[in-house]
Amino acid sequence: MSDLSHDAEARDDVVSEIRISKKGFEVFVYIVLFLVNAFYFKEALGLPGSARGVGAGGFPFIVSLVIGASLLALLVVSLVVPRKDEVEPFVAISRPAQVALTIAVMLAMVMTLPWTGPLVGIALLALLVMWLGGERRYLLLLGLPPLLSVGIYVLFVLVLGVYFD
Amino acid sequence: MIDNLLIGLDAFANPMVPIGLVAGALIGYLIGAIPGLGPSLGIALMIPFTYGMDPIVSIVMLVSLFAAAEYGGAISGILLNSPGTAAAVATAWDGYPLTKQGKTGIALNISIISSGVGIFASAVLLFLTAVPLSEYALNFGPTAYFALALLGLSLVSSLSSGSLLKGALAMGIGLALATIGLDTQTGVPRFSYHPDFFEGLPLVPALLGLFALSEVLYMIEAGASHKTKNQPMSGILAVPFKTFYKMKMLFLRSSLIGYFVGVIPGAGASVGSFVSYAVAKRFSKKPELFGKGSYEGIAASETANNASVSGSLAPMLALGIPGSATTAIMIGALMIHGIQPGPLLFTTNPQIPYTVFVSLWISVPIMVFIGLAGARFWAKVADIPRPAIAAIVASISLIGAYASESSMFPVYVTLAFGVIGYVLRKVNIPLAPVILALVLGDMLETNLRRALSISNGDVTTFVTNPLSATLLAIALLSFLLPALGLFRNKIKGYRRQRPIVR
Repeated sequence: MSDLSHDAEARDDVVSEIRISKKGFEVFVYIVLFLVNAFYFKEALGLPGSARGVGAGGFPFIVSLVIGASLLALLVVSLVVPRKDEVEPFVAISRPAQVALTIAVMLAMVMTLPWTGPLVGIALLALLVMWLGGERRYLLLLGLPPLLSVGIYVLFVLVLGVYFD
Repeated sequence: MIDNLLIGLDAFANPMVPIGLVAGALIGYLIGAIPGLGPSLGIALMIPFTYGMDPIVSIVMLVSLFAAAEYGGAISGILLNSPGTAAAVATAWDGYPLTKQGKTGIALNISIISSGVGIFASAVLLFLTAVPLSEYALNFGPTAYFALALLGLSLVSSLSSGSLLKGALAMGIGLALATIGLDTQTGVPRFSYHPDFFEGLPLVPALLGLFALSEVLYMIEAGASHKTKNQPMSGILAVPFKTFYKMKMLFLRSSLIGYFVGVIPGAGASVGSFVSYAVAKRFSKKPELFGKGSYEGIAASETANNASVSGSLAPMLALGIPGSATTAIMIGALMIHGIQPGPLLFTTNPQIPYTVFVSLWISVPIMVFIGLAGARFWAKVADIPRPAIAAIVASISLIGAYASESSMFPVYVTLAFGVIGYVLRKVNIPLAPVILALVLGDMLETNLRRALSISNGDVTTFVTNPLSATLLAIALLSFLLPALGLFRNKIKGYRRQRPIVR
C-alpha cells in the first residue's frame, strides 16, 4: 500500500538502463543527420541564385557544405580513428520506458489539448510526468497537478490574456 | 551619458519595473538553487510570461533573473557539493568543505556578498565599455558585421564543446534552421513545406524545446530525488566587515577577470570563475587553504561568475552579438517585443540599455538581502522533488509555446525540439551554438549578401577591409589553434607509445 505522507521517501518501482555502444549511436545519429543534410542540399540547389553575389539558395548551400564536411569528419573520427582513451564507451539511457512514455504523454497532451482544455490538460500532464518521474507519494501526485494547472491558468489566461480556443 | 543614466533611473518610476526586478531575483534564486536548472533554462521558461509585458519590465526581470540564478547556483554547491550551475563548481570546492566544518552560514554570506560586489563592479565596467563600443560599431559595414557574427559563432562553437567538429556541426544545424521561412530579401519560400513555416522557425518554442523539454527528459531518466540533510545556518550574519575589506584587491581582480572573460563569446561564467580562482590562489598568502575551505576561493569564484553576467551583456547590447546561450535567449525575448539589440539600440531605444545598467546596480542590495534573508529557504529549494520540477517545467514549456502564437503549431515545434535536444545532448553535440546560430543566422546571411552585392560578388571584399579581415582571422584561429593543439598532443602520445629503437 502506498504511503500517504508527504515526507515519505519517494520510491521508484522500475529502475532500468539500456546501454548503447557510443560509437554505434553516434554513427547512427550522424547518418540520419547526413541524410537530412543531403535533402537540405538538394533543396538549396533548387532555390534561385543571383547574378551578383549570393541569392536565396547561396547561403543554405554554404551551410549544407559546412554541415556535410563536419559530419564526414565526425564519421571518419568515429569509424576510422581508434579510440584508446575512451572513458565511457556507452551511451546510457536510464529508465528508457519512462522516457519514451513521457514523450508519448506530452504528444498525447498536445494533440488532445483543444478538447481537454488547459485546466484538465495541464493537470493530467503534470500527474503523468510526475508518475513517470518516479514520484509515488499520493499527496504530491494528487495535490500538485491541480495547483499547477490553476496557477498556470490564472497567470496565462487571467493575467496575460492568453486564450485557449 | 549621465543624462541617459537618468533615463534608466526614470524607468524605475514605473512600479512594474522594480516589481519585475524583485520577481526576477526571486525566480532566479529559485532556479539557480535547483541543481540541473540554470540561467538559460530559467530565462527560456520565463519568456512566455513576458509576452504581454512592457519591454523594459521584461528585460529588467530577465537580467535580474540571469544575475540571481548565478548567485543561486552557489547555494546547492555550498550545501550539497552539487552546484546549481557550472559556474559555481569552483565555489563548491571551498564552500562544501566549510559546510563540513560547520561554517555553512559564513560560506553562504561570503558567496552572496562577493556575488553582489561582482555584479556592482562589472556593471560599472559594462557602462564604461558598452557605450563607446556601440558608438564605434555604428561605423561597421556589412563586411564587418558578417565577420563579427561569424567570429561570435566560431568562438562559441569552438569553446563550448570538447569537440571542435561537434561545435561546427551544431553551428551548421542552427544556421540551417535559421534559413527556414520566406527569404527576407526576395520573398522566396525556403524549406517551408507548410504555411506555418513562412514566418520562419518560431524561436521561443524552439528554445523551450531545446533547453526545457530536453531537460525534462533528463529528469525523468534520473528518477525520483531523495531528501537531503538540512545544514545548520549559524554565522550567516556574523562575518565581520574586515574579512571583506582584506579581500578588496581580490574583488577588483576577480571582477575584471570575470567581466572580460564574460565578454568573450563562448567563454562564459564558468571559465571566468575557474580563471579567477586560479589567479586568487596564486596571489593568496594562504594558498594551502584553497580546496579545503578558503574564504578567498569562494569570493574569487563568486565575484567572477557574477561579473561575467555583465560581461556577456556587453556584446549583446552594444553589437547585437550574443556571447552565450543565455544572452542568445535574451535576444529572442527582446525580438518578441520588436527590439533588435545592437549599436542602434543606444540611439533608438536608449532607455533599454541604460535601464539594464541601472537595474544591475539597484539589484545588488535587493539580491544580497533576498539571499541572506532567505538562505534557509533557498537551502530547502534543492529538496523540491525532481518529478515535480519536471512536471512544472514541461507544463510551462508546452503552455508557454502555445501562448507565443495562440496556436498549436509552436507547441508541436517545442515537442519536436525537446526530442532533438535530448538526442543531441546524448551524443554530446552542444546546444549553445545551435541557439546562437539560430539567432544570428539571419544577421549573418543578410550581411553576407549585402556585402557581396555591394562588391558585385567579389569575395575578397572580406579580406580587403582590415576590420573584417582581422575578425575573420581570429574566427579561423579559434578553430585552427585548438585543432593544432589536439594534433600536437596526438603526435606526442604516438611518440611516447613507440618503442625507442637504437
